[in-house]
Amino acid sequence: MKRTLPLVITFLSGVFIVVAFFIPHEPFGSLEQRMLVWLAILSGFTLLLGVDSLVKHHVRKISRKSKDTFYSIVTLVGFFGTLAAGIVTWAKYGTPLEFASLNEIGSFFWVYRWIMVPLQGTMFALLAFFIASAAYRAFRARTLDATLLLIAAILVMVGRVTMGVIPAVIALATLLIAAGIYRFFMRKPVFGAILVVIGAAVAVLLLIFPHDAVRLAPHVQEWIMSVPQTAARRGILIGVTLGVVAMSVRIILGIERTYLSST
Amino acid sequence: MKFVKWLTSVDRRIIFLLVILVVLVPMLITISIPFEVGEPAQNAFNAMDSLPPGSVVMFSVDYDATSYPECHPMIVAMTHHAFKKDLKIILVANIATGLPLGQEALERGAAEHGKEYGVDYVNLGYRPGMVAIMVGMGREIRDFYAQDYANANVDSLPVMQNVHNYDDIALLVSFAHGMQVETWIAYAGARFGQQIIGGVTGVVAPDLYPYLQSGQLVGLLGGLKGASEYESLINRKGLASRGMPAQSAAHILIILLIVIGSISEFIINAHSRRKK
Repeated sequence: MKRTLPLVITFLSGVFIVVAFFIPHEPFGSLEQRMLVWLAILSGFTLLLGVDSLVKHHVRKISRKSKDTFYSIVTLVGFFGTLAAGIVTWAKYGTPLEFASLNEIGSFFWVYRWIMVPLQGTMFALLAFFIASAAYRAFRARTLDATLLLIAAILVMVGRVTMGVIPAVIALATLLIAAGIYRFFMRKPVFGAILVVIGAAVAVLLLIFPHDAVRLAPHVQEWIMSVPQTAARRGILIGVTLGVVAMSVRIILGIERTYLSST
Repeated sequence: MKFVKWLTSVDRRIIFLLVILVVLVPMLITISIPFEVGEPAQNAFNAMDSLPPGSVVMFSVDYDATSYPECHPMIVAMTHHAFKKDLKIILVANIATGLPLGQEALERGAAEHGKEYGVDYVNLGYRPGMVAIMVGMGREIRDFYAQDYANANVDSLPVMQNVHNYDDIALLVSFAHGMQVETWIAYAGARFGQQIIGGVTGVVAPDLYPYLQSGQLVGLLGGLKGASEYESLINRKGLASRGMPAQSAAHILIILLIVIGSISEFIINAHSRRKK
């Protein structure tokens, strides 16, 4: 019963939602809406489960006095401090998100604006440093695939800058010529010659038409994004969607039962 | 050869220092460089600009502070554009921690354009259950948003008087740093024919090009460049326009680092091969 009942509920709900999609008239339409409201309510309860899990986890860590206890204390102080700020603002203004005027904000909004936003921003800003370092160390034109990927990446980046297009294109031409010469050393003269010719052509064109390079860069970027990138992305998308449909059918029919693993 | 070897194993703190410099210097000195507006951003602008005054647009805050530099200038620029065109704005959020950012953008825009809460714009707040809400709003918004963020009954707000479902919303703009735009397209666009614009981070933008080509997205703002394009279209320099020189400089630095790293490796490999 413990396994059968969830399977029956899943089957009936799944079949009903599919039917309601194709027959949106009464009573299916309003029943579907009712089920969607239930789903939204259930989603709210999952947030509570998350809060419960977070608090329990860190309380347990503090009680065990593990080596990361300090971070658990910071987490709990942050959590309950924000909660307190929200309750105080709610009591005072009727909503935690009070934004009475541009100069008067509630304590919850203050915590959000002056603590959470800078913290989240700082964490994400670190990415720039790691990407730059990783690009330098790992992004190398070692193979044909890597070279093509690199050229495409540089062209897309060049198309998204508003200044420095010419130095970037010079760098690209230099890379192409260097990669071509390297291929000669690796005894791949045909590919090497192709890269050298392309690199030289880019350099010569840049010398003759420097302004056109600046004008063309966004169009080249747009073409890469709209044609080869979109073609590949569309293929992936179709594959993923077919997989989702197959998995959904398996779940509705009770073939896929991993979501019941805890029972 | 010694120098080349040093280049391949350069201390990463030197790279970090270079990143700081190329980001800080362009931000400290004001640089204004004209650039061409891309078609996706132009289409987004046209879609908003062509709406008649009084039309209702829905802004969905699907980002948080992690994507503030890219997504926030978009919502700020579009808020000003919408208010300038006398459009009504309904704000919703699928990311709870992003909602205050959207609210702040609206409040600042409203103060500048003399718009009134409840009459010209409303903040319906955050509700959990993203997909259920997206589908359910096709039938009745009030089933999910009976009150606004401050618990006021939405029926008491003039802006919501004749707004019940997607039929009453002329345009939906999702400012997202994840897959929310695709979800809006699947549930609000495909099923109910809602016109959608995506305002997304540079990382997410490539994922949305197939929808742009198929017409399921009427416009797309991708990353800081997309935001700065929109700012230039509404003739209002903001956060994105100020940030573009720094981003451009960082891109150029990364390109140069890649080229230097690759060439150094070519030289070392060729040298060791010759030795053998």
